[in-house]
Amino acid sequence: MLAEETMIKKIIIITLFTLSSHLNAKETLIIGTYDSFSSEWGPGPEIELKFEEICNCDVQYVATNQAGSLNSNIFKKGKDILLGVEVNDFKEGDSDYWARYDYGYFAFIFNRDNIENPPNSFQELASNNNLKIVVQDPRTSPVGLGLLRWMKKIYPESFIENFKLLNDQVITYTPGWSEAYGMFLDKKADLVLSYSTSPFYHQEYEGEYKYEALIFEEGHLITEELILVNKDVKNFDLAKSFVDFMLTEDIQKIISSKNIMYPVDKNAMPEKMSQLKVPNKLEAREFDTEKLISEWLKASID
Amino acid sequence: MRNLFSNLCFLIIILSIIIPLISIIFYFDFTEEFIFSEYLISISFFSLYQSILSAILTVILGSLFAYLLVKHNYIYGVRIIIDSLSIMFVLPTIISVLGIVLFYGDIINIYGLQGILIAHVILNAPLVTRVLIQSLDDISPNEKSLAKQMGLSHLGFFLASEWPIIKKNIPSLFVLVSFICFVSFTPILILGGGPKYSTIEVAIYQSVIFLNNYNQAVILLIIQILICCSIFIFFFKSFKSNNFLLDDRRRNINNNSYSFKYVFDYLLIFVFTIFIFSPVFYIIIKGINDKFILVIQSKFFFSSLITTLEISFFSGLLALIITYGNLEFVQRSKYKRELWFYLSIIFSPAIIAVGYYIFINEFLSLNIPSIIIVIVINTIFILPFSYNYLSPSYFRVSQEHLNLSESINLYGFKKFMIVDLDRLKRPLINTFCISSILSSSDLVIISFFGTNDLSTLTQTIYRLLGNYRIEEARALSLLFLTYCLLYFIIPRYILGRTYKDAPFN
Repeated sequence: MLAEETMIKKIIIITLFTLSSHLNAKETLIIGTYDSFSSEWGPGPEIELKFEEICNCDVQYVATNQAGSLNSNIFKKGKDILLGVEVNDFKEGDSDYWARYDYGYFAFIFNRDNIENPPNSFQELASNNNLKIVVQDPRTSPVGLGLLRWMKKIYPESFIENFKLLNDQVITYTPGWSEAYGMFLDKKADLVLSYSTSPFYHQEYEGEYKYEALIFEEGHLITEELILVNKDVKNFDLAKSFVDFMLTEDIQKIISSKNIMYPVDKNAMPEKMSQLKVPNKLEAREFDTEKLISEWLKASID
Repeated sequence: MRNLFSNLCFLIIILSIIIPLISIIFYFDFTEEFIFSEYLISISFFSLYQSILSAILTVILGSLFAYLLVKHNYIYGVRIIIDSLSIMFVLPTIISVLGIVLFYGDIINIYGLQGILIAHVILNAPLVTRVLIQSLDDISPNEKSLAKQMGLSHLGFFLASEWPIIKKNIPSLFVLVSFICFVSFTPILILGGGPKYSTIEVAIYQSVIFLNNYNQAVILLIIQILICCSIFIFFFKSFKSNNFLLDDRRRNINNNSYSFKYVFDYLLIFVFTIFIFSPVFYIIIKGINDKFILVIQSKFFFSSLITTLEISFFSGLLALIITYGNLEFVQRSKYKRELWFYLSIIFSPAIIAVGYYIFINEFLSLNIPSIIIVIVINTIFILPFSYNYLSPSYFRVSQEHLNLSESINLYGFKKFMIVDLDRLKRPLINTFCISSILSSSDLVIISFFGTNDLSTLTQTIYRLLGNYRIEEARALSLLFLTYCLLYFIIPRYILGRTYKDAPFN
C-alpha cells in the first residue's frame, strides 16, 4: 500500500512539475522553412541564436526538403512564420505581413577550364550542340520550374520550338537542385541550372574561381524569397518583429553569405558577391504553372 | 486468445496503410473532374513496361549470380561477396544512383531506358541473389552426397535440386522487384533523361507535393494499385510451384574445388561483381578526401549517427516482430495475406508520408515525438523486405514442425522460444539487419517528420549536398557505407558465435 501511495504522489508531483514548466515556458515561434536554410550550414541556426537573445522566446524551425510544399495548406498549418516562399507561389492575401529577404537570378553555371567560348545568349546556347546540360525536373523542383518561366518570358510565342533546341543538350532532369549540382561538380555535365550567385560559394569558401555563371543578353529570371507571417500565427507582434529582424543589416549579412543569394539590403552584400556580374532582370509572374509544365512535356516528349 | 498476437500484427499492417489513405481522401473533392491525359496514359504504360522488363532482367541475372556464388562458395572471396551483397540494395538511392551515374556515365550513355534498366538491375539483383542464396544453402549435404553417389552431372543436380528452389522463389521475387521498379522515383528521374521516361510515382509526387492536387494523386494511386495487383495475381497464379524441399538446415561449403573447367564461371562471377559493386568502389574512392577527417570529428556526424542508430534499431525490431507475427497467417491463407505485405510498396511513399502528416497534425493533433513517428512509418515501408527475407526460412522450418507443434499445443511466444528462435536464429538476425539499414536509408519520411535536431546520416548527406558541400557529402557517404557494413557484421558476430559451423550468411 505504502509503495503505491508514494508512487501516486510521485506521479502527481511530476505531472505538476511538467505542467508548471509549460506555464513558465517562453513563447515559441514556429518557423516553417526549407531544409537548406535551417540546417547547420545554412543561415538558420545563427539567426535563431541572435533573435533569441532579444526576444525572450524560443525559435523553432520546422523544415522540409520538399521546397515545393512550403506554401501548401497542410504544411502551413501550425506555423507562425513561413520562410523561403518563392515569389511566384505567393498571392496577396496569403499573409498580412510579409517581406522579401533575399533574391537571385537563375543562371547556368560552367567551369572556365572546360568551356573556352561560353555562349552569351539563349540563342547561342540553343544553337550550340555540343554541351551537356543538367537541369532540375520542373515537376519536382522550383528551380526546374524557373527555367520554364524564364524561357517562356523570352520566347512567349516560340517556347516549344526553342525549348526543343535546348532539350537536345539536356542530358537529364534531376529531382532537385542538389543532385544536379552534384553531378555538375562531378564533371558529368558542362552546365548546370543554378543561381548567378553560386560562384560566390566556391570563391568565398573554397578559394576557387573557375566556376562562373553564363550571362545572357536576353536577361535572367529573378527569383525572390519571401518571409511571411502565417494566418495561423499565435502572436502576431512577435512574428512581425522576426520579419523585421530578418531585414536588419547584421542578419542580411548572414543570409547572403550563407544562403548564397543577394541580400535586399545593399550594405550587407559580401565583397566577393558584389564583384559578380549582375544580369538584366526579367520577371515572370503571369504564367500558369500547370500549363507551362504541359507545354514542356509536349516539347520534350515529341 | 491463441491467434491474438498474429491477428494484432495483421491489423497493424492493414491500419498502417488505410490510415494515410483515409486521411488524404478526406481532402478529396468529388465534384472535380479528372482528365486522363495522353501523358498519363503514356507514363502508366511506361511504368508497367519498364518494371516488367527490369524484373525479368533482375531475376534472371540475380538467379544466375546466386547459382554461381553458391556453386563456388569454397572460395573465400566469394563468401565476402555474398556477405556484402546487400549493400547496394540498402544504400540510399541518392547515393547509389549518383554512384551509378558517376561510374557508368563515363563508359556508356547512361541516360534513357538502358540507364533505367542498368540501375534497376544493379539496385535489385543483389536482393534476388541474397534471398536465393539463403534458400539454396538449405540443400542438405546428404542430398549432395546422394547426388554424387548417383553420378548426377552438374546439370542433373541443378535440375533435380537447385532449379526447384529457384523456381519456388521466382514468383515472389519477381513481384517484389517489379513493384519496386514500378514505383521507382529517383533512379527514373536521374537516369530517365527526360519526361519521356517517367513513372506514375513521379506524377503522384508532383501532384501531392508540388501541386497539392490530392484528387489527381489519389486517382493515380488507384491506377498504380490496380496495375500492380494485376501483376501480382498474374504471376502468382502462373508460377505456383510445389517443389519444395524440406530438409535439415545446415550450412555447407561445396565440395567443389578450384578447377580449370570453371574458368567461365569465375569469369562470370568477376564480371557480375564488377557490374554490381563498381558504384560502391566509386563511393569509397571519392569518400577518402580532404574533408574526411573533419567530418569524422564533427558534431553533426556524431549526432546523426546516434539518431540513425536509434531509428534503425527500433524500426528493425518492430518490423521483425510484425513480420514474424504475420507469417503464421500468411502460411495458412497463402497469397491473399501476402498481398498486404506488398501493398506498402505500391502505396506511393509520397502519399503515405503526406497522409500521415495530415493524420498526425490534423486528426490527432498530438505532440508525438518525431522520432517515434519516423520509426513507426519507416517500419511500414520495410515490412515487404523483412517479409521477403524471413518468409522462406520460416515456412520451411514451420512446415517441419507444424504437426508436432500442433499436437503438443505449442504456439505463439512459447513456440517462438522453443522452436523458432533456435532454428531461425540466423534468418532472424539477417532480417533484422536488413530491415534496420533499410530504415536508415530513408529520405522521404525523415524529410517530412524530421527536425533540425533529428537528422539521420542520409538526411545529413542530402543537406550537405544542398549547401554546396559535396566533399563532405562524399566523405559522409563513405562513413554511411561503413556503418552499413558494420551493422551487417556486428550483430551476426555477437549473436552468431554459438554457431560453430556457420561462418557466414
